[in-house]
Amino acid sequence: MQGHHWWKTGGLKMLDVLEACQYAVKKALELGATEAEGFAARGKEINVSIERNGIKMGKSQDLSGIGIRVILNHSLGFASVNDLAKEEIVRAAENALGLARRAPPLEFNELPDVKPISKVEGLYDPQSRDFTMDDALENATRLLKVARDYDPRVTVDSGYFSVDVGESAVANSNGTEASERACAFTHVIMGMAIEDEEVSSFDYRFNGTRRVDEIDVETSARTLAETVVNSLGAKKIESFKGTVVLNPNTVVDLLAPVIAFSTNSNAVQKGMSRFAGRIGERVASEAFTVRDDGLIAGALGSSSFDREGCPHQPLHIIEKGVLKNFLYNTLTAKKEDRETTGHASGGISGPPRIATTNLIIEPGNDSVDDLTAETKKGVAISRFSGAPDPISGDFSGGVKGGYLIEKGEKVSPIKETLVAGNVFELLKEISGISKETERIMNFIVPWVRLENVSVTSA
Amino acid sequence: MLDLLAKCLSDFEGDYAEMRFHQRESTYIRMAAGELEDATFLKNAGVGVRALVNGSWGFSSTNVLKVDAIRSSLKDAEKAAGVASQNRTERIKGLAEAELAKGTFCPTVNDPAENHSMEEKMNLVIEAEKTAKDESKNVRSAISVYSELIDRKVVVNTDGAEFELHDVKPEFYVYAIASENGDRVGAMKAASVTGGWKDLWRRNEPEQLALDACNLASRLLHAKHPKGETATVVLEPSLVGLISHEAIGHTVEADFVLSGSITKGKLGHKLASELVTLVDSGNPEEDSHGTGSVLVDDEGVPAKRTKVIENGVLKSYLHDRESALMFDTEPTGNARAFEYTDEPIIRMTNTYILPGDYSMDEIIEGVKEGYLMRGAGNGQADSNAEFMFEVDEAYMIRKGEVKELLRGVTISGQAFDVLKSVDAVGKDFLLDIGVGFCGKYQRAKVDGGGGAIRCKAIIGGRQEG
Repeated sequence: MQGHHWWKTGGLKMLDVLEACQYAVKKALELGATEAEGFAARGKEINVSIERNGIKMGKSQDLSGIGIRVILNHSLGFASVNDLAKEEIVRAAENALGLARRAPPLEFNELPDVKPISKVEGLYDPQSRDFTMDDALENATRLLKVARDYDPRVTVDSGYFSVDVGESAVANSNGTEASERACAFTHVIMGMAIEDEEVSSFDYRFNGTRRVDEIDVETSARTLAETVVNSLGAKKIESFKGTVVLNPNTVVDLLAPVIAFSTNSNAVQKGMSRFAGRIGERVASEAFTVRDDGLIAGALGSSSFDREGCPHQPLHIIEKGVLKNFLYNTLTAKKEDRETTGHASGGISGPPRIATTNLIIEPGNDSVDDLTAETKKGVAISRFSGAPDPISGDFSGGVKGGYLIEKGEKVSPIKETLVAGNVFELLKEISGISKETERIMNFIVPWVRLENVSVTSA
Repeated sequence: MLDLLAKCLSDFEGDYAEMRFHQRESTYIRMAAGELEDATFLKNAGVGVRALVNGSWGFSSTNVLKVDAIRSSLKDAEKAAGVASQNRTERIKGLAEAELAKGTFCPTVNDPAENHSMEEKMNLVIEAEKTAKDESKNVRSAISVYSELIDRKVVVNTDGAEFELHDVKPEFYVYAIASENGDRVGAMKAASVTGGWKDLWRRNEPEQLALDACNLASRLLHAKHPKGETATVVLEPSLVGLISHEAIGHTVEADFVLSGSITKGKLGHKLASELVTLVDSGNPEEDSHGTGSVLVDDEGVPAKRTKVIENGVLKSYLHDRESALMFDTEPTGNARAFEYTDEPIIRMTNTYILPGDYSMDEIIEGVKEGYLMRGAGNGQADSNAEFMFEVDEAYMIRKGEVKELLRGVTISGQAFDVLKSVDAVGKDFLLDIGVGFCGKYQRAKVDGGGGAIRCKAIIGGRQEG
């Protein structure tokens, strides 16, 4: 692709969402907006849900809507409506302007200029058009069956298999116009193991892909079943301070949110990020490298343009432990008189925010087994129950599907155990990173071993 | 709308179908660090259609409010149900009988939020953020948010429900961030109700909330982390609500019970202290303005006062009509969908522990060494009722006196063990779970509270050395 307007080769329906955006921009300008932007989406959802070890429901619906951002003398207004009819678009544009008239101005409230974009491949699988409710049912049934067949003690509380096929478009008064088709096949499975009176830790697995031939519900079902069955017979342990091995799920739940928040330029500029003013400084162990790449072909976090119609710029966030870059949208970039990095995020229901696209933590040199084998005393975590505070980095939460490790061996499953600490401090306590990685939705992450973590028991 | 939906439903031939028109208008205004980050008006309207065919559910929806489009959604829902039924092992036998709602239902609203201009709401948010930021030199960054959900639902189903429901839920919060020497800590104060403008500010004016958030954040900066231990804790109503909802409530949702939650087969068992009576009510007589209030559920079952635990004994689960039939009992008014594109599922409303006899002073007096906890932060609970919650504001209690503030505190344990250990319940009642949503595939507005309780639980902290 040479960065030309590839979307113009799309079908008639493709122009619908883009036309809606263009209409919104035109109307908002007519109503007096200084600048205007429309972001529209239209799609079809097919979903088969699971409940208590059985199929629950089939769901099929068409969804559409538009979000209109207006800027009136640097004041922001936004309105959204779940309809692409002209009269609804006009009403939304009026509502957005009504808000902008009352909003305090902000010098940097401006829309981006036209930026060349190139198509990211693999976001739309033509086979998705023919994917039916029956196909979704087959996948949901397999998700359930693989987990249940693994062990009779496994109970699947709930879950679903879902297909979303749609198109989105953005247009603004500076001439930006882009649209794109995409599809996603996602699933979730939640459950526990039950043996006599004992109910194990609850756990869940989820994943997704954009390609029909890459749909893999088996891995999620099997790892869920394995985790909950293995957590039966869990014992309490003594409190200690020591080693913790995080699986990829836990890396996504515990480390990723703090890194994403702290490198969000909005949090940085507003004094909420601990990384503010620390570009070029060492913030993590040398083995630790984090990238964001929204251009990976076929990845769930990829798209050809961001929420404002700008291309994603692949970035190193942390390279060999050194803080390298923050993530920007147009507004935060203008405050520093620089270019957006293409990390404007969001949908039709609000103005653009900032988010990671595909977040990648680079693999290390150890095998997953090495991480355990080298541990004198520690805990392996399958799920962290809790949420780190992204501002302070403090966390304290439950260890789910956890194991006690002694002398390099997984000794026994553990229960009623908490881990606590500070993510910023622990990023400097990384003692091992696996060479294996897992792709979980829009994250690609390894296992990570940390030292000096507080492990508290009841 | 009622007639339109009834007409679309008239030639349905399956076991059961319902049509729910749901229009939501929401406003969201957010200030952060002196900047208006968001000023959004959102309209979302359409008809969600659910059909029970051949013992299985199907769902579809449309945003086109015309006979053809709605009928076509019904066909899609029937078709989806038919497909799902192919691989369904146990067919749904039916839905429990209930007196279904007819007529129009509106919550009590004192001074409707709609009568207050966008300008006033915007100024409120701007001023609150400024107040929080200007109060202390340590607080250089603050966030303030006002949001409101204004809902109108019209529901018709083939079992005779025909009603219109209005609902208004405004909320407001201030989050102040204090920082010093690279250390940062945040604190939140919030108000949230079902009702009007006057109801929203019934306990605190917005300025007070801003000042309180600022002061707390500033004090937390110099607070110490707790040590990890099992201790006596006094939980104020906000945390009683969080435990009632998150750690107990989810384990008694009948859908979760059926898949094997810890309370399965435990009806009639003593699971808590005799002092504990735990209720879920969509229209609490103690306080109808709870954020979780809903006068009629989306299946047409009017709000009930369900005693989940009575004097320590598990008495009831929370049901929709499907689960009620399976348990041979009455539905409890807990079927709810978040938006028109969602199907009703079992959700809590206002979940709380009935007040007892103790004054707050009496509760604290009895504690030699322990913790006083206020304000519900993030939390998670497990199917076995193990839970972990962050606490916004925790103090040491020594010799019956409230002492120093602590930061980064979490409370955890097995919720029924915690409720077994209750030896005092306070007489002052509040629904006070705070702002935000409960997530269970969809979002829902809920509330919780009670009298304060004194109990034993695990305090999370850092293990030194």
